Amino acid sequence: MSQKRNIIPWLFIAPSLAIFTTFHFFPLAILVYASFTKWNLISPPQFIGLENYLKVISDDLFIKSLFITITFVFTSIIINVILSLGIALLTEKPNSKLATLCRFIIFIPYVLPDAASAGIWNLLFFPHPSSPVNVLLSQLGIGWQGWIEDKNLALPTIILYYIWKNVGFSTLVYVAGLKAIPKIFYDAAEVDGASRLDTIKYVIIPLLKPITLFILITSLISGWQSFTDIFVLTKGGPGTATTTLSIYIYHTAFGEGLAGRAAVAAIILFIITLALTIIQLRYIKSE
Amino acid sequence: MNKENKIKNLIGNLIILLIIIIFMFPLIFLILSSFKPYREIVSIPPTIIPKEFTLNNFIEIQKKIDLIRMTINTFIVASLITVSTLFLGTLAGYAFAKLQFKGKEKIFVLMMSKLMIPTMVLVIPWTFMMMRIGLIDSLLAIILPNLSGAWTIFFMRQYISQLPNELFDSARIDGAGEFTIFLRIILPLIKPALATATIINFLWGWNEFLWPLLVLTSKENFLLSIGVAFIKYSGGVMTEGTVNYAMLAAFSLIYSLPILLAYLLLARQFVQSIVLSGLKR
Repeated sequence: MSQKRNIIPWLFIAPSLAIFTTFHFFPLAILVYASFTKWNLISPPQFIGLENYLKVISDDLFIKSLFITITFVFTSIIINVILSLGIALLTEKPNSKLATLCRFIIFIPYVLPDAASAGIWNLLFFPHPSSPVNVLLSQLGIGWQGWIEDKNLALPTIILYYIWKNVGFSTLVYVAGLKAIPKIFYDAAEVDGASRLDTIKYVIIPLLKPITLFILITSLISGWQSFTDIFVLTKGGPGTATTTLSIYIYHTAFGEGLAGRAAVAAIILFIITLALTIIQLRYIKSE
Repeated sequence: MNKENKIKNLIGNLIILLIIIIFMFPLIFLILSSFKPYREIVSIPPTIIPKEFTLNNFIEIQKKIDLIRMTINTFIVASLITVSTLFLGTLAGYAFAKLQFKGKEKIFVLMMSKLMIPTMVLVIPWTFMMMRIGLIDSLLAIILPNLSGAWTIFFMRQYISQLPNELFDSARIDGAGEFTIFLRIILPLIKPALATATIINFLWGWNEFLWPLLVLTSKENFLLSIGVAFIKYSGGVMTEGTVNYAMLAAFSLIYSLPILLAYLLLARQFVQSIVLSGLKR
């Protein structure tokens, strides 16, 4: 009987463990092996030592893709945090139907599938005088822009997209955080005669620090890996203006057929994701 | 309320109203554009309400890439992934929560480490593996790696470990096997958790993009997600090389519609589930 009891837990976890091993852990080993080979995914790989590593770190496009990813992730996250804190403070009023409606509506872009929300953004910013954003610009007396097809505006357009897409989620997290602040803090601030602005600055923002950190780290991890939206909006273009690390890996492996070299970039992506996740776990534990 | 506060409140409400308008506009524009002919979208000035109401965009898409087939494919993939992940994930979550075995903590940490691997890292080896076993261009290639999920295991472990042990102990004394306990006692008790995991896994399945983009090559196997990219980069491209935005609108609308409707009907559950899932991907 006791023998049987020991086997049963393994039967319960075996299917999941088998799937993870086959499709997630084992492929990492293939990837590491591939990083030392010249390989186009079809013909047998040839061992070339560290050549891929040297090629990748001396590849201007790889370095550029790192910069683009960092610019895009940090800019969108910082604006997103400021904006969502503002909206959360504005809409936390418990009895306002308008505020509830607002939180409901700004969450829609986050719920939509990525490819669909990127499709919608494309519809607003398409490079033609009659796209909605260009019509608005011409009302303001500014000429129409190419947006996703303009090499200077493509990345800012994607950053705006990410803010529109994610601000609803961060707002909800902030609202939950605001609700958890005990009323006594507000009362104390009022007794001290603090203005609303001072209360926000010296009471609310410091108390929300753990929430802010949570939003920063989770958006950093997901933004760092983002692919779908950028692929649908620009495919990394025009030229290489929006080639993030993910687009670089995709293009190197499946466009140029250099799977070995792409494997090196993928390993770098993995290590950075790993580091970010470990920081997040440390932080969750310390809270 | 004094006068000053009233004015502040009014300004606050006006800003909220402005945010609502800014966020509603893209959705309304999407819906209206789906029923416009292309020339109305690019006319100067463009129309807002369609002058000529047409279903032609949907008909054209159906002709080009079989929208109905793609919708069915997406439903099949998202549903199978959801059912399988719920079943296998709950089984494992129960074992981690309530059963004792050697190396339990270590295996749990190992399985959770799957969450740290970006899909972009896996698709290179997956392409190679699927070529070897002949699953390129099959929906099975999408389903197999997603048959179970680390988040679901984690979530179920948390939920089940809150249930009191007495519930199962008496059944064990009565001689019930672990699997019977799982089916008869656990599953009925965790319905709210199953609902949350269903929403999350279906959303994720519906969202799958990168791997389908790489592994599915023939149109009859396409999913709606990659249909968007197809409409933008090949299917809907007009003769002069510009994208047919009317078709892109119609297609994005179809792809969003099931999720939008589910969100309208189940807003509270959606919000709770997504906040619980913490991180999207």
